[in-house]
Amino acid sequence: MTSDDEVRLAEGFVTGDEAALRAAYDRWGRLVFALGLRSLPDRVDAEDITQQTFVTAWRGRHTFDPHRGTLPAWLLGIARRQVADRLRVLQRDARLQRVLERTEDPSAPEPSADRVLDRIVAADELTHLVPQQRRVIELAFYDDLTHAQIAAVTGLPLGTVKSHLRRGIERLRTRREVEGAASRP
Amino acid sequence: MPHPDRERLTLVALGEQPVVDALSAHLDQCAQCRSEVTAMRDTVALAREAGPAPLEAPPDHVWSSIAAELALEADPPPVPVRPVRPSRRRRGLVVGALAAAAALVAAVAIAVAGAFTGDPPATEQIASASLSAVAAGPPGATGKVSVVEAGGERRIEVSATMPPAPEQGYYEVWLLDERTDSMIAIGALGENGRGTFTMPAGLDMTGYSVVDVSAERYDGDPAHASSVLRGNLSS
Repeated sequence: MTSDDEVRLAEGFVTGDEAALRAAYDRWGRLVFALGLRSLPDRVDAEDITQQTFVTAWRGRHTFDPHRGTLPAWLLGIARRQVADRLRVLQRDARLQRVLERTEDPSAPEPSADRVLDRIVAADELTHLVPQQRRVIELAFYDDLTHAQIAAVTGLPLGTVKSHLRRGIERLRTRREVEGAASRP
Repeated sequence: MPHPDRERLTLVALGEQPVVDALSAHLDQCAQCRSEVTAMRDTVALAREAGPAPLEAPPDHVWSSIAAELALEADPPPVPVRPVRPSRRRRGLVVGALAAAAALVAAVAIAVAGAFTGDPPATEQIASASLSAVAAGPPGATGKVSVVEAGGERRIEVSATMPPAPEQGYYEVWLLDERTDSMIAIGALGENGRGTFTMPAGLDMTGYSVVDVSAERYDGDPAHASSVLRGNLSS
């Protein structure tokens, strides 16, 4: 989906086109679901968050302002609030439970909510790279190959490998700036 | 030393050591390049933490619940076959994006003309190809390819009739630009010889006029192995 397609989709969404809601769900539902899966203890909670995010977004679609951010950034903002609310409820229950059981909280330090969101946005952007570029990035990121080794493995010229790496990382960075945790107050 | 180019800074961010002393020296002195490397390094770290696995789609019943809670008029099926409401502008952009793909222009024009004569079809075929066995390929092997657009996405649909892939292997679909000899790996065919592949957004198909199916082995080498089927895309 190009950014033009995204703009078109956002226009349809705001004007109440149900097909645009479905398209937004198909494109960004997995981002919202991933945020739920990685922030909440239970899968059912993640499914709930996904449902509530799209229901809330659709009912409040007239409040989406394309001049202040992209549709996915707006959806993720709603999802983050849903997750935070759900966590508060869970923590209250857990605190009550602890008081009842007189036990200590054994939970280990977890990555911040911002970091979790940024990882999800990165994972999503990786899957939207052109196949060849994605292959090069994955060999560098997850197989720890040097650019020379990647060139040898893929048969691509060194310059192409270096340019894929640079542009791939730039895309991840831009996407994070637009939709990641730092994109909102 | 002037600022090193961004490709070299990228390699530093990926953890490849600068081999030139001048580059190390420059990074010691230049706060701007250092902060550039730090930002890229953080982006790389983030993607490494995220891992290469694609994000999981929410289960189907989540959409059913959304549709029920919002009492949507027509509940579209889970797979998006209905295109996002086409507007003249959007059609125009699609045409603009594809105009560069000279071989495909005529088909798009026909598809666009068709779009205004009635309800827009769920899918529009942009190009197609008949595949036949290459000289060294299995005799009699054939296949069909069609490039379609649906719901704002371009997909390549491939079906092939040929011997099953060998035990430790599979069939991979490629797009080939014969002028530059560059290839794009599109994806692996299923065991039934079929596959539908969504084209990445922003992929410029200009010049990629040949579809190639190759026999690959699970050897960790992502390069194109040996061709089995080939055909030219036309509108």
